[in-house]
Amino acid sequence: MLFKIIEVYARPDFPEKLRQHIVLSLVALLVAIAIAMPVALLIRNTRVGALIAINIGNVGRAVPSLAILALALPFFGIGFGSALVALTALAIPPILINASTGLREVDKGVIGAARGMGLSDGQILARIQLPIAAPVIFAGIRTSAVQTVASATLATFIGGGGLGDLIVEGYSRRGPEILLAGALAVAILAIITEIGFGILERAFTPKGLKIAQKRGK
Amino acid sequence: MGLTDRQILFRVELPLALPIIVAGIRIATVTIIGIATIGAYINGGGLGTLIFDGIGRQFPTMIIAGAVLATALAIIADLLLLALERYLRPWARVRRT
Repeated sequence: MLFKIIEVYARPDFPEKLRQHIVLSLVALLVAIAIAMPVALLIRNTRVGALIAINIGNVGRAVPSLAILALALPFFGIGFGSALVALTALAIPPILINASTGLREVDKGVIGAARGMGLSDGQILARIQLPIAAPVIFAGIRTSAVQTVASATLATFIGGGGLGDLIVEGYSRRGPEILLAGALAVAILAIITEIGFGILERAFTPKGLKIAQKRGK
Repeated sequence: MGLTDRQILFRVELPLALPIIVAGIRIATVTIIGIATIGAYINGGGLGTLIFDGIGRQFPTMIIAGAVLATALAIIADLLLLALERYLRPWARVRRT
C-alpha cells in the first residue's frame, strides 16, 4: 500500500494539485489578513466595534466550511476563483477575533504610561499595542492558516482543484491508494503549516514579553 | 482551610477553570457540526446531503437551505453551551464593571 501511495505522488499531475492547494490556501490567508487586520486596528479603541467584530467572527465560524464553499458556487460559478473567495471568507473570523481581543486586552495602565511619556496614538499602536498583542494575533493567523489548508481540500467540490481532487478521484474510482495519498498530503501540509506558524509566532513575540511569561510561570 | 486535594479540585480548580473548559467544548461543538456536513459525501446522511445535492443539481436554494440549517444548528448548540456555563457559574452573573 505504501508503495502504491508513493506511486500516486510520482504522477505527473500531483505537483500541479499540490501547487493549486498551496496557492489557494496562501492567497486566501493573505487576503484575509489584509481585510481582518485593518478592521481590527480601526475598532481597537471602541467597545461596540469590538463586540460587533467578535460576534460577526463567532457567527462566521459557525457557518460550515462546506456551506461557505457551496454558497460561493451560485454567485461566482465553478472554479478556482470561487474557491478562493470562499476560503478567504472562511479565513477571516479567527484572525479578526484574535486581533481585536489581543489589541483590546493590552493593559490600560501600560497605554496610560505610554501616553504620559508623550507617545502619540500611532506610536502607542506601533510600539505598545501591536508588540504586546503580537502573540495573540499570530495565534489567530495560525488557527486560520491550518483551517484554510484543511478546508482547501473541499475546493474540489466546486471545481477549485487542489489535493481534494485526489480524495474525490480515489473515492469515486474506489482506489484507496489515491484517496489515502490525497488525505496524507493534506494532513502533512496542515502539520507543516501549524509548525511553521508556531515558529513565526515565537519569532514575533517581543523579548520582554517572553521574559514576563517565564516569570509568570 | 483544610481542604483535601480532591476538594480543592472540585470546589476550587474545576469551577475556576470552567469558562475555559466550556470555551474548548464550544469550539469543538461548532467545528464538529460544520464538519458533519461533509459526512454526507461518504453517505453519512445529514444536512450535508442538501448541500451536496444542491451542488450536483446546480440548485442554489437547496444549498442555501442546507447551509442555513447547519449554521443555525451550530449557533444554537453554541448558545446552549453558553447558557449552561452561566447556569453552572452563578457567581459570574453578578455584573462585572
